[in-house]
Amino acid sequence: MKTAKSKINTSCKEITEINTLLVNQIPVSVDSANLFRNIPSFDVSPDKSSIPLRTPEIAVYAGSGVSHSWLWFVEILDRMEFSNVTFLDENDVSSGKLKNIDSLLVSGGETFAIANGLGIKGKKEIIDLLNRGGLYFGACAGACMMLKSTSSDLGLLDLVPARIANIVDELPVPVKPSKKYSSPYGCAWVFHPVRGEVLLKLNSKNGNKNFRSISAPLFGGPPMEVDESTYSVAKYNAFTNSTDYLSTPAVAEEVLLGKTAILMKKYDKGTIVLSGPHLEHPDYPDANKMIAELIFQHIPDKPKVSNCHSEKADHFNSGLLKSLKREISNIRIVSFSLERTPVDWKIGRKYYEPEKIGVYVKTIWDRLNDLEKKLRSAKDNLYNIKDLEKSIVHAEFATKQIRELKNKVNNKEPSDDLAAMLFYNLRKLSICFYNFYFKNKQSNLTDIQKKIALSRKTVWHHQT
Amino acid sequence: MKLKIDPIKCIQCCACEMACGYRWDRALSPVTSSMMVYRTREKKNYFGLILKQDENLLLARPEGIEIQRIGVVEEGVEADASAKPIMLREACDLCDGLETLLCVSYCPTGALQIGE
Amino acid sequence: MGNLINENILIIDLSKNETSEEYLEEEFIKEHIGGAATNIALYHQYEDDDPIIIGTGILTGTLAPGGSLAVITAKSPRTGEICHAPVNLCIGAELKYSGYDYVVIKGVAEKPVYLWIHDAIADINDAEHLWEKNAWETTDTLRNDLGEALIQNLTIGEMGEKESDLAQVISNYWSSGDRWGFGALFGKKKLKSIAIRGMGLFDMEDEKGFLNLCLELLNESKNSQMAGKQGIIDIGNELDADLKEWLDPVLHRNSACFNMPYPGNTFLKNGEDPKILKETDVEEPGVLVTDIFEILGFKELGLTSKDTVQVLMECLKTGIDPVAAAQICINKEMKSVNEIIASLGNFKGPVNTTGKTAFSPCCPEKSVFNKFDNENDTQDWWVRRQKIAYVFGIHQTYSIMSPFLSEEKLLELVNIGTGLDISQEDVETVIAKL
Ligand code: SF4
Ligand code: SF4
Repeated sequence: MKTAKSKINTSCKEITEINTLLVNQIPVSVDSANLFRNIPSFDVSPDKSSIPLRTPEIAVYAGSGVSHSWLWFVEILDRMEFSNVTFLDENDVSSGKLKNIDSLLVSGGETFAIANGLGIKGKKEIIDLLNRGGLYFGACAGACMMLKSTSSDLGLLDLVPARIANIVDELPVPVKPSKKYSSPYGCAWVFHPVRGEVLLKLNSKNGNKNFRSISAPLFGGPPMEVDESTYSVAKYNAFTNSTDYLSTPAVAEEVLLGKTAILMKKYDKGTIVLSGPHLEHPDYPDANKMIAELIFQHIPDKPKVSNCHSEKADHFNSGLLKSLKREISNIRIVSFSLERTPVDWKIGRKYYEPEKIGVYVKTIWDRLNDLEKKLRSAKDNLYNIKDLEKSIVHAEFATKQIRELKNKVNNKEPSDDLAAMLFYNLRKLSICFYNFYFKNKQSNLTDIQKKIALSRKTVWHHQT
Repeated sequence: MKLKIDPIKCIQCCACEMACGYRWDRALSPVTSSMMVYRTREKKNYFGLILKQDENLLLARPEGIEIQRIGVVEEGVEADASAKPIMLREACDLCDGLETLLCVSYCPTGALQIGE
Repeated sequence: MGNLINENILIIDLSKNETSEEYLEEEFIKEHIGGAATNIALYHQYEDDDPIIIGTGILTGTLAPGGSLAVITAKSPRTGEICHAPVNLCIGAELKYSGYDYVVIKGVAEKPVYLWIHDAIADINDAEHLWEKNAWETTDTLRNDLGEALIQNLTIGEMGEKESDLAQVISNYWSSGDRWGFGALFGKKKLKSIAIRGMGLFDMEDEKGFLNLCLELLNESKNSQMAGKQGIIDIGNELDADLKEWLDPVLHRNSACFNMPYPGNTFLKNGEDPKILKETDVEEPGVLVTDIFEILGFKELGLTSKDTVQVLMECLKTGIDPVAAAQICINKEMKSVNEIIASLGNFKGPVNTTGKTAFSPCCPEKSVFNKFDNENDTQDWWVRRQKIAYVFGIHQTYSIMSPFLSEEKLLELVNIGTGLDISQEDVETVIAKL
């Protein structure tokens, strides 16, 4: 059965191509100068014209404190055909599941809630990842969490000595009264002169005068001021027609323009890249591609054998997928009905609207139908079936919760607590589902495609 | 160009939903339109239209038109700074430059009209 | 293929408590086109299991004007013949967008069940808690339990549970075109309800061509004699039934079935001032009249319109065919509202309200608003018009209002929408078999 197909963007074709070859175990080397033309390379020596690639091991943080924006990573990594992607919550991180990971990606949410959720153990694991030469990429709250805070008791990772440039003791007068304008940060305020699309100017490498700029959306992420130990990859350069001003344009320009939007900091063998804007937003393929470039940049030179196929595969029972589909459909139907209901829930410090349920459901739903078709043709070997089973349990529970929630909303009864439990469950459900999905996602080339790929040069060049 | 709604003329035929669904999906689909026919009070025969706009929800009810701001959680208070936009249903973009508005064309009653 | 059609038949085996799916082959589509004709073919295929077939037309749920129709086909407990009942509102479209073109329901459940059809998934669920609920309570309960008020529901009330041959399959809360006692078949199968939610999507082979033709036909509709007409009052005028004054104390708003340019349904309110437009706390202020004949009998009986609304509401809740109920009241000269309501559940046939053909007489047997060239021989013309409507998925009453919705145009819509190449001869063959 077909479903709505709004919002299909052009994917980052080049990255998709690399990943498709890699997953089919066809050797790929890349022209490092081309691939990383905007990002200084710490791990690749500049005289090396090409580097061999292997499938990167990626983890997306989906633990407590995150907003639904981690699902944007799902969308873009899937589109770019990354396959070894794991989704981790705070317990997974602190129990050592970052051990095999090359890149950890952390999106938006509540900075302190993410930091607190990870706890001391989790933070140590992140530092271990960096010590091993891994990449930490954080956007918005995921970026703030790594910055040295003005107050030492905020419990942040404090690894990057950059100053958040929009922290003030006293707030300038906003254009319109809005909660989006400011939020407390320790005992000061972070304020947000704009929301939505901003233009970023990428710093040129090696004195290259041809500046490139990309756009990405800003939803509460920081402008930063960096010292010499930190490389400013991109600066806020301009606003666009899609920028939403919350303060006067003059204040917005003063606070943002010329400040660092993306920074890069070496930490031991690893690298920390922090971005104010959401480079992972699926509507911005150029920005998405930067993330992919960073991921490829942080694969150690020596190819490592992916552990995917060393795990035990289980026999697949198609009834499981149908059970999941049944429940996701049930949730989807109620979430669609809630969309027309004027309600929101206060969970922690944030407000959640019914549409957010829809985002969780839609991201899974869009993949379920595809997966169903793919798996129908798959013979029997599938991985992480346990995750699929767990996701069904969460989904059955979520169906009950959302139906109860709908009734409470209809009867105008308080429903914040139930909504909080539902969102928790949806997040767990999604984590399990994507761990199953990415593990079994193989872009199988036909034999003819393989022959063509092999007959081509193994050095893969960017189209410029 | 503006979309003018006269909810009293509406007969809840849902043609506008389908037309707008086509505008977004290039297919027939009842769930992605910016225009929603509000028809959940079937036993009361109470129906109207909801239009998702960029910043607002326009509620066209039989008793009149009301505009609700999206993301406003209490009167005058909007969702906080790092609230991420939801992209499930597209906001009406007046068919992005098409000569006619699709929902208006397929509306049989004149409940939807092009206005200035 | 797959344009405008799911290519998917749902088979429900109530005896085995199992569901399965069958692929709808292109050849099969060309041979039967759709709607009632395909229903008949499926009926014969599963004849031994006393099946109920619910089918959509190729144009059901599309932007083709009037594309609201689904058809229930089964052996009528009242006539003993295979008959077709039209189902409109949003039920046909909902079924189609739920991922199935046809549903075959065979066998008998051990205990009461309801079907929950959604996103190409069909569940046979326990309905013990629904049994003995009236039709309205059943729809309310299912919509509440499943969490969506837009769920469309075919259901039965007390009459269906009793397997009375006066039992009607109720569409959500309102009358369907079932004059055949199909409600009794639901009851016999211990099938209380079929709840449906459709959130799918259809491509079109030539989308521009299809949509332009839909628009052209809609504009013809808007520029025809239908323009400015509304509800059952204007249909009544065409049938020489002057309803305006009689209905005035209860007249609320008119509305349409899915993508039907003519608002043929009229809401009558006796529970509150019908002129109030905004939502009030009165939960059940009246009834939606989807079939003009539902009220004509009670008018003939001499009831006021207010009393008619009250009686009609009870008929719909009890799940008795209101036309048959009115006929019984007339035969028994029963004029007290309280008496009628108290005895509805015990009404028994036979009553002669089934017409002479396999198509429901809920559709007036003459053209309405616009004249057709070939309607001189009214009975033949009407039957052919019904066959065409029931095959393609066009609202049966809209089809007798719309000469511009010619067979050629409907066929053209089907062919450009699906990419199939169905000829007029194919149509003739299908019509001849019906
Ligand atoms: S004007 Fe276009 S985009 Fe807006 S509601 Fe109508 S069809 Fe949809
Ligand atoms: S098309 Fe017109 S009449 Fe039909 S539901 Fe939309 S606004 Fe109402």
